[in-house]
Amino acid sequence: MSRRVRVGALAVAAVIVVLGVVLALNVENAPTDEGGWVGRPAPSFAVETLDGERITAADLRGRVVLINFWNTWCIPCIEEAPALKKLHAAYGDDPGFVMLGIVRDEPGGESLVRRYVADEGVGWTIAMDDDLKASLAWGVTGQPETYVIAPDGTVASELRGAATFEHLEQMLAAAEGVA
Amino acid sequence: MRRWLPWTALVAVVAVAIGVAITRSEPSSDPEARARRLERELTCPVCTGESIAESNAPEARAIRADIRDRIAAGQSDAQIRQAYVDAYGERLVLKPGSDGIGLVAWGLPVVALVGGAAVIAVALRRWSAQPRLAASADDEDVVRHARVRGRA
Repeated sequence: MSRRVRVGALAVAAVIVVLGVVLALNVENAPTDEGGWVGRPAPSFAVETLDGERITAADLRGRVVLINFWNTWCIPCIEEAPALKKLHAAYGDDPGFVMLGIVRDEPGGESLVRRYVADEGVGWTIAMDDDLKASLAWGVTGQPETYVIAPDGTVASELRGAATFEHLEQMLAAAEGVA
Repeated sequence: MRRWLPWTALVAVVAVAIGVAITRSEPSSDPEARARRLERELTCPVCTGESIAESNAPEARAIRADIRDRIAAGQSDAQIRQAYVDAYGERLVLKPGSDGIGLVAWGLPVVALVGGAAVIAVALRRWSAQPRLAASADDEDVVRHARVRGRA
């Protein structure tokens, strides 16, 4: 192999290595983009509850807020419902804590959600996100997705997928660490 | 003067063509045109390889409506883009960013172009410096005889 060919091959190899490193660094950063709310101020959003009350992000300041995006047909949402019920039973009476379930992508509509809430004994506040505005504000791409906001309005923790009771307690603990 | 006439005409045609191209490519400020442009610039967050304009997913439909609401509320294109980047990350923007991997996407074609031009320049220089074919001894004889005959 001539010297020129060797130098050329080395140059090509160097370019490939540099590109590989750049891509690897990008892959490593990817999870930050997937959600990436922790440590950032919670986005502003507004939803209307099943009781007809309008709730905005600003209304929730000063309390630990757990927001859970869900719907009635999503299997992981049904799987995590007992954990949410247990959490509500444990902390629901605390005036410094709010649990807000936001229903998204629900073809059955509000009437089906009302029936589900009554049948399953869901005791926390439930709101509809028919126009997906709240989902867009949070960058939600599926359900369930759960976020905990600290009293100062910073997102303390987030979870995509079904949460266990232990997950939820850890998420609340993160908010207390921020507050 | 007559010799320069075609060149002057060519320059005029090129200048007019460039002027028309620049004018036509200026982005329209019409709200619907802005909305359609943004829909093409953003990718559907729950789809694979589809822009907001192309997708019929609920999220894409919601973003289409949201873009129009934001335009009506007086937000600039940059503010609208940023709102989605804040929520979903840079991956939602189809146009590469100006840092990180985006810089590679912008820079690589330029590097390839400059590198390619340099390779072609070096190759042309080398080819022009060398004779296309090396003359054999027989060729030299033919030339020598021809020269001798020419002098005779």
